[in-house]
Amino acid sequence: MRLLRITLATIFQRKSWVVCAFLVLIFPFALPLISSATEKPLLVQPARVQAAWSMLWLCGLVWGLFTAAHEGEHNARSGLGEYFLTTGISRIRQLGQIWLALMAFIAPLTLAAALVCQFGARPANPAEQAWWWQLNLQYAALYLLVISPLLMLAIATASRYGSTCSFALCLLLALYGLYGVAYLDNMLRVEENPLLQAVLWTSPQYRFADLTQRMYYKNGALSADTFKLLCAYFCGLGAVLFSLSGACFKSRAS
Amino acid sequence: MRHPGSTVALAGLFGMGLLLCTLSARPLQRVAELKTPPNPLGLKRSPYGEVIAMAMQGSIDTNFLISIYGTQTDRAGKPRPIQPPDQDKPLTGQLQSVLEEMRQGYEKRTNPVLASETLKRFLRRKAEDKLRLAYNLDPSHYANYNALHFFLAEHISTRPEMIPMAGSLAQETITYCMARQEDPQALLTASAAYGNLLQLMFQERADGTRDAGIHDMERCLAGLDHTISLYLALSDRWLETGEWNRLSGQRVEECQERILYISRMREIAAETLLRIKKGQVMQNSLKSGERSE
Repeated sequence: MRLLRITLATIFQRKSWVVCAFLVLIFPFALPLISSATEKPLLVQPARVQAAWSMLWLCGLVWGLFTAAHEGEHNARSGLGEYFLTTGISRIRQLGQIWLALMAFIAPLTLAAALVCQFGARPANPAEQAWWWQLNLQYAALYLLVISPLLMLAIATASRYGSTCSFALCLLLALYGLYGVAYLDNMLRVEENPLLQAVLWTSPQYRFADLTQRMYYKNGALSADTFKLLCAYFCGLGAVLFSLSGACFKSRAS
Repeated sequence: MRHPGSTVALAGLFGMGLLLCTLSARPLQRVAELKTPPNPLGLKRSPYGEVIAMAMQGSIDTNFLISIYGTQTDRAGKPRPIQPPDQDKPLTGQLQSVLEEMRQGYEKRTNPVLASETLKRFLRRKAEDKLRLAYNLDPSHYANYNALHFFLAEHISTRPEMIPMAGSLAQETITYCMARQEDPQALLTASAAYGNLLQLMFQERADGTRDAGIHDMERCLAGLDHTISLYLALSDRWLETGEWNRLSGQRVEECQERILYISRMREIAAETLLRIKKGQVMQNSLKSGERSE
């Protein structure tokens, strides 16, 4: 696991993860102070929830994808990948190790956001506390299911096409899946269009992994059936992206 | 080693630029023709804004039931209907039903505790803000305008100071729509706005809060008639030229339903106005009878 250790050390040394830790741990407590929650104490906890999970999405999509693209490109262009090929670490194993190094930063950030919401923004009503931890866990699980294939895709495409292109592509895909698809769905409900309907069905439905509104409006945890269905969907989508990444990843520049 | 002359030149340029900015900034803020409401990317009241306003309808009604009843079923206990999959297309029907199931599960409220009054009020405010944004994106959109008017007129609005603005909202909508007489949908919205104005006047008269006067009511009714006749004339013209084919079937059906509704509303408004006029005449004759005694 030498490539894993090298990548971990490189990311750790660059120290930009400190900014992410700050955003996820400190901002949920600082941001409500500049919101209308200062006038309405009841809004402090929803504001904290929104800040925590929004910061996590920001860190994952901006820092996570950028770092993944950077590491993927560096592995191919610097000759490190070629060296590890000669030592017997295959292309796919290299991809897996770089990905694991990134997940070693993203997973604790996810846990931190969930803990901030669990202990810093729990509803006072005991009947609502019963499902609050479930919703937190569900959100953390869905977030990881969404972000991990995107990180792998960023690593793989960067090794072939460069970090800028890869970052832009993966970020656009994520933003489209989170927000564009929802607007497309709304429009199709008002006006039918077979072509756009086909686009909707084949688009990644990342919007279903964004449970911020559910937490914010206290709509309760997802039912077991819905959660299983969503997990199955994102696992399937993840498998597609993992396989594409495996096919795309290059260990050397030529 | 930097040339001292270039440093002086750069410093001079910096100082000059700073001076120019500072001197021109204050007068710029006072120029009236530069004052425009914020409109990022110029989306509001643009063709793109109109499309986004259509798309926003779905996101506005998601939490509306909760904001009124505290839960997703209405008082009769009826949940929102699930769209059945298309039976003729097995694969796409399957995809559709999976997506629909995910969406229903995602939106379903499982919290056993009903929404508190504070939460309901908060949700209403969110819905109202979105409605206002949707209205600003496209003031000629029939559904968004009427939904916003409903919020204001039925006192569901969380901003009581905005409630008297229902009338000025209607006037603004009429002005905007009458500048778009080549669009039948805008004419329908203008008719709806006239109808809403009449409704407001009747309501205020019945409440005793304000009496708009027969003259104003008749002018409103005349405005309503004018927009209806404009719509009918445009509709006939479009039938001849085939321009209705530019709109989708859904849009055309909507226009047909709405003109029927507006025509019926016009009849009721005319009857109400007639009753008010008769009542006024009787009142005047009673007063003049008293005076002669």
